[in-house]
Amino acid sequence: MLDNRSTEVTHLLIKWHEGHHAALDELTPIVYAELRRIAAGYMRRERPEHTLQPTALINEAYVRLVDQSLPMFNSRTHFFGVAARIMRQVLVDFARAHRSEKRGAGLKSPFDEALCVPVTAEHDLLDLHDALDRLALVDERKAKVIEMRYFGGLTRDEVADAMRLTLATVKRDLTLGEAWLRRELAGRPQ
Amino acid sequence: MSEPRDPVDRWAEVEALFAQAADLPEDAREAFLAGLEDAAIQREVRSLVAHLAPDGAVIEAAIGRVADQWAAATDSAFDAAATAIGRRYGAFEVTGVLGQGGMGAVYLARRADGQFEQDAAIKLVRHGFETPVALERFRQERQILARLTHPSIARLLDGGTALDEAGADTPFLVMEYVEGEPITTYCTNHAVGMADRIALFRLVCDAVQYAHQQLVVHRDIKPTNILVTRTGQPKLLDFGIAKLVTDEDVDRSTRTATAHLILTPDYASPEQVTGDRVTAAADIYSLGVLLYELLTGQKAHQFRTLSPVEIGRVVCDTEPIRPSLAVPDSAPDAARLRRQLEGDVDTIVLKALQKDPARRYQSVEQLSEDLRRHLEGLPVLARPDTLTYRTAKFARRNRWAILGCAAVAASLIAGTIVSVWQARRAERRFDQVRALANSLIYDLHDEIREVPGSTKVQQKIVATGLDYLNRLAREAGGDARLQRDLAAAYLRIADVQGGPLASNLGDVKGALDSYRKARELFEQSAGPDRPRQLAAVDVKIGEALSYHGDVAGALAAYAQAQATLEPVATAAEAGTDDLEQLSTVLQGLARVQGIARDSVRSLETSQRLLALRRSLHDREAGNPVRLDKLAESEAEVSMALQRLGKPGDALPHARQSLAFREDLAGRQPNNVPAQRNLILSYSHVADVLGNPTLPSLGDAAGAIDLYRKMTAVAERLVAADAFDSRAKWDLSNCLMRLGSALVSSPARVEGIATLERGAALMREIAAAEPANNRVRITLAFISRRLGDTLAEGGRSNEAVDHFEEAIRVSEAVLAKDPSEGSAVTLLATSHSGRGVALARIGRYEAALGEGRRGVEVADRARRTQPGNARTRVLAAGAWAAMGRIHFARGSAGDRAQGCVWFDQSLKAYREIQRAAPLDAPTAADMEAASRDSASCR
Repeated sequence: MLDNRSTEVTHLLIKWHEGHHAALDELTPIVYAELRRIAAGYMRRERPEHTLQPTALINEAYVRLVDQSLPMFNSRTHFFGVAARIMRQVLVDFARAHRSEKRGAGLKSPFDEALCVPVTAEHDLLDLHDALDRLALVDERKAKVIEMRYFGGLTRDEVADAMRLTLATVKRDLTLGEAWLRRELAGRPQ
Repeated sequence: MSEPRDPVDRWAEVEALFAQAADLPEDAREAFLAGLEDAAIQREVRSLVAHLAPDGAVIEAAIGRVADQWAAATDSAFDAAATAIGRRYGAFEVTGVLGQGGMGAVYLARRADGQFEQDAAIKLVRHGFETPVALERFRQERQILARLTHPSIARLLDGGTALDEAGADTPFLVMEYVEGEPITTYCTNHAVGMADRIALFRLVCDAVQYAHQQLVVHRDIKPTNILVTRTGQPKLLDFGIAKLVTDEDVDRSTRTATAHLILTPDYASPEQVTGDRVTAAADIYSLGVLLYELLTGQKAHQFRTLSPVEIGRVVCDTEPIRPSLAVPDSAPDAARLRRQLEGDVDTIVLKALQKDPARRYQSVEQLSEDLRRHLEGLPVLARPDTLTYRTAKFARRNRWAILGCAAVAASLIAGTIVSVWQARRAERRFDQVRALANSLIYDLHDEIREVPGSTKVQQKIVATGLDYLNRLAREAGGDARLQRDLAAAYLRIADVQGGPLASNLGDVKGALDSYRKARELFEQSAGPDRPRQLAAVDVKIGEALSYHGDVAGALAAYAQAQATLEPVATAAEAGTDDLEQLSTVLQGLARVQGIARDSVRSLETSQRLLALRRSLHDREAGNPVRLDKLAESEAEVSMALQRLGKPGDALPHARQSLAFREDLAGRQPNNVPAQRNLILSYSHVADVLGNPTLPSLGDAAGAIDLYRKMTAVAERLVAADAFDSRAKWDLSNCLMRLGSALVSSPARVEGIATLERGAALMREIAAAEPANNRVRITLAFISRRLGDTLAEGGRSNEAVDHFEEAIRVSEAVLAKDPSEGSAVTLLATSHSGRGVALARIGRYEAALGEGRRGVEVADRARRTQPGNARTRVLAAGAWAAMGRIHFARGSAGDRAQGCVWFDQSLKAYREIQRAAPLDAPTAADMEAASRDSASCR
């Protein structure tokens, strides 16, 4: 069943994991294209009962793209780490394109946005994205845990595994990180 | 708790305490939180706990909604891609898909008009991304490409709009199709030598330079956008995010997008990462990164993760390793390569990679020219960085950049100090170290202190300077200048650590330690300024302690300052400055005594301050500043007396203050602050005469008279400047107070009209300032007051609507800030008030619903703040309202139930009364509850 592509992706993952940053450059478009392809089909199969969760997409991309037979290499968590980041970027780009359409006016710089109290109470993905960036400034690990959990769709156990943390730590990170985000989204004046 | 802690430790502490609180059952949390010693930490943990929720539903919903829309757009994009094959765009027909990225899709096409054979790349806006921004970018790309005709830039062949399957106009671009490899891959695959790599790179420089001359900045230079054909010709592609440098508006709208679209930050300049203004210098930087990679085979920047923090750290703060040192041992002929790069090439590459755009090459041509000179063995123009360059001050507009650069600058200056330090014995460079350390503490610190979020960096900077001053002090023993420098430095760092009047790290213990060190140093000094310096530090200590809730400590600090200064200020030769400083001390002391509820001492201090200000005023009679201060002191004494229940003694002071302020306002009819002070004075005197919520002389008519005068001043201010929202705010507050007083007087009808005018004005301000909760709270207050008044006057029908507005507005306030206590009070009382009014007009079901909501809100407040008397008063009021609603319905069963509510309410009032005497409004509420429930007994 495994084709050349899955061998390639798997090797890129290993290289990336070993610290070859360039491997990510090659990995990103492949994963991105695959995510898009699955998302396209997903709409046809699943509509309209479900809200699409990135979890399902990434799982499927993983099954299709990664050779899981290699021993001693936890490909799943590494793949999800990459995919969570791409998923977040894709959705943010998409939301941003459509928000500028809605609001019409020019966007502020991200720093203006980070410093200003949000004008509307509506918490969309972009608010979440910005808040997550701010959380990363306070506590990078918690931001990463939340990204993997919600954009990557990993379970808590998998997050723990991927980030080499205990399950208890992941749970604590999620509880505090989410409370922090909710407070941020509630428009706490800085 | 006695060690000064750094902010990282504090976050760890917050984290640990939060985890403990989260594990507790909900009703045990408040006690736990209340037991936390450190006020700042308690605040932080409490606000996080308030946002605890059982699952990630909020986050998942936000993601899921967008994911859905994205998948739908993607779906139709795939359909479009499939159907695009065979379509005609101008003279070209689509034959395949080349790729999709960002907002565009690129197809392979072939000339189909039979004229000649030609391949092309057709670019379309991607399906689902046809937003105005995307279409604008597309239009711009076409406009940009139309200007560019260069052998090393992929050419625009055609462009226009075509009808898509839905019959809409879709813009398209037909580009020269480039078959080639990315420049880095090309050099590796074809084993291109060093000199040829530089020559190839210079061809790219020509293309970029040419674009710059056409006022086009590419902004996305990276290997995958520079393909090299089989004949060795580089072609620059993808001007998709390029911009015309003259086009500032477009730049604004795309700035964020560029900052965020970076998935691969390797080639991005610091100004692109931070979202700062992007100019041609950004392309020069990216070319520098590309050159680095072509020459060494390594990326200039290494990222551990792709988090924004890491990207910012690496791109903005980290100097790249010199190219000659970056060559890995595994590279073929590594030693020779290193020798080739050492010197000129290192210098050239690093000049292109300067963090500060102004320090890079000023044009691509200069960069290219230096490379040519190097190839030909001529001296290059770039100079290696020198120490003086590197320590030069520079502030960038952007917060991240400033923080990053300030940190870098701090470490560089510190580095300079170290080298000077090491040389000092030989060269007696004592003064130089001192000057550098001071420049760190003052110049650099002053540059960044106003930058939000810079506190950590500030502390680092000041601490570094302090460290060196300390070392000098240890060596230099009793050098008096140094002692002074050191003390001043400690004051600085204390302000950063925890000074209440600036943004700070909330490290009060650390700040206090530093203040105390400064104090010790001043104590050792023998100069004539010693008492003044000591008192100044004590005031700082007092401020810090009182701000963070240590009232006893603050009192002691101020008392000490007073004791130190009194002899100086009362001496015959005391100067005005001494009296002024003493008055500052006394003002602080009176304030803290007020906080400590020590009304008697607070009054004494205020009276001493008043005497001092009288003598200061007498020294310079006619000086309006002194008169203003004197008026302020008279008002403070008056308020202290009123709080002590002596309105009769308070009145002359209040009148004196008013007389001074009338004088001042009369002298400066156009001075707005003077007029506003006059408004305040009128309200003080009126409060003493007849404010029902304070101990007053009960002269309601006299109070109304002054409230009218006060309102007249505010009317004048609004008439003078119709756009001054502050004046409108003042006026609506005046209307609120005047109206509130009038509705309890015979002029009730006028009072209602006055309140309605105040409400209308408040609504206007609230609409203009949607983020201002203060305005909303006042609006809710007026609405509820109107509701109460109308209900009392038997106009329950109208009252219902006003209560409703009060409810709506309080809810809006709470949505923004759930901890806003006065909005909770307004919400609960308005629900209850509306419930009673509804019951009076026979709408019992709705009335019970509202009454219950009032009880719920009050109960919730009472549960979250069980020790707070206000929340208990709130609950007692809500219960009494339930009693009234049941009574209005009138059946025997209802009345029995009503009696249970009244009983509960009265019991609560009595308990509150046992703890402390009731204030007038609460006493009136209790009285009303007791009266309304008379038939139960």
